[in-house]
Amino acid sequence: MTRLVIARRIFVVVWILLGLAGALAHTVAERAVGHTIDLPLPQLQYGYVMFNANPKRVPVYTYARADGERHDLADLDPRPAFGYKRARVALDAMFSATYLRDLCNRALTSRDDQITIFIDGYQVDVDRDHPAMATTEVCGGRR
Amino acid sequence: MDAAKLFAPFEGTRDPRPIAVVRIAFFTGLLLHFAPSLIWLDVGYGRGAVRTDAWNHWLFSHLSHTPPALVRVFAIVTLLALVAAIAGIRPRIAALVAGFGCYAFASFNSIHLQTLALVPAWAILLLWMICGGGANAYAPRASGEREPSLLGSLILFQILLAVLFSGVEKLLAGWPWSNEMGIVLAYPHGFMVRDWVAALPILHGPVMSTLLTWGTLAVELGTPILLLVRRTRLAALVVYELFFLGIIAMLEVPPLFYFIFASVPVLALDDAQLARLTDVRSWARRWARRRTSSRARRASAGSSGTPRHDRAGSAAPCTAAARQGAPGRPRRTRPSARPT
Repeated sequence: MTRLVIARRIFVVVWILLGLAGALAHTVAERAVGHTIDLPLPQLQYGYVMFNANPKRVPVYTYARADGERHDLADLDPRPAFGYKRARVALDAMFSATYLRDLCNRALTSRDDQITIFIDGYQVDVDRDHPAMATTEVCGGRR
Repeated sequence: MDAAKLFAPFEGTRDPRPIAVVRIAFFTGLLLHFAPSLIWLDVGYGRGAVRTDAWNHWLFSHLSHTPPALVRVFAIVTLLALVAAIAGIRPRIAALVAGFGCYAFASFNSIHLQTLALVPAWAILLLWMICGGGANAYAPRASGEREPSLLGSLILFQILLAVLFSGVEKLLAGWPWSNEMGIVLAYPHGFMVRDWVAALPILHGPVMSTLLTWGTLAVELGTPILLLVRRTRLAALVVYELFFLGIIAMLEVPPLFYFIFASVPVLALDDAQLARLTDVRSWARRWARRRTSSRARRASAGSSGTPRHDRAGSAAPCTAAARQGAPGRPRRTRPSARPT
């Protein structure tokens, strides 16, 4: 057996074990030792997750300028996101407290321009058709 | 245990087309994912941009001091590397440059980049940097030679592991009894679900959501194993592809997610299965034969009592004879592994 073959087999074994460790660090380890184990490689950092726990309380973001007509908040972001623009903006807003204000300020077109962001919170396991709470955030304008 | 047999999927060579398909799909997904942020650079990476730290903390802290012109150059180089990888031009070097570029930008600011969509991408990029290859088909200077199996098999392992453990995580989260799909499908218009899903009442009932919850678990726990068994592979592949098609059709997820998860399982197909699936002439022949034989059946049914060769002319008996392996006509053989 050549050295190349041995090296390749070692690499395969290490890769497979690391992959399994990354999976177990976020499943079994969390149950066994009470917390996840941080592995330094980027692909092992967060485990393998797809919609395993979904929030029951979710926001829907819209905005309006002076004319009062509501639009998707995602329309304020100049960057395209093919097929997931609204989801991207909603997740960004959920995970960063200052994101909404930044997005709003960037979208102002003049000193007099004013944008009102509407946040409708739905408790989906109770009523998916009507928001359980509603708040607004205003940016721009001469306030 | 025989080590050679154990390592067989990672050694030897295979048809170059599946890994080339994965190369194109994966790097196209990565390009679609990063290009908006790297073209509209000021929004995410300009001075005073709102930033979040999800990957490398050192890069997160230090890249904000980099001159904007240099950041622009990095962005252009990263985009060019992605395009080169799609085209199949020096894929290992392209993966190296694109990988470091994408990782640096994701560390600089992860806010627009959907952290979880990137997890499998880092693994694939790392493998491509280490193993190289993937440009022997569908590339300007493609040689058509067979590819080493190592890269494709490790990518397949990584993605199937991710799908399997997504199922395991769901089980541990109490999925079968919590009807989580009912929650996802109940999301209102404007959050995560596509408009048609929010508008279709049939999807919001308990029966449908329970079916989808159990179906999701079955696919995620079952197909990664069934794809590895030759006998169940094609059926598992169809179910798997329908599942991910369903996800992208119903939920607003990044195309990168779909491009990775939908393309990689083609690597599970062995050479003979691939040849059978891609042999267009064989499909056409089979279709023509079925059409001819059904026409012949109709003709014979319409002429009860009349000898078949008298009415249907030469086409039907000829086909029937061919089916029985009549002499004078070459028998159709199963296509074998395509030598390249």
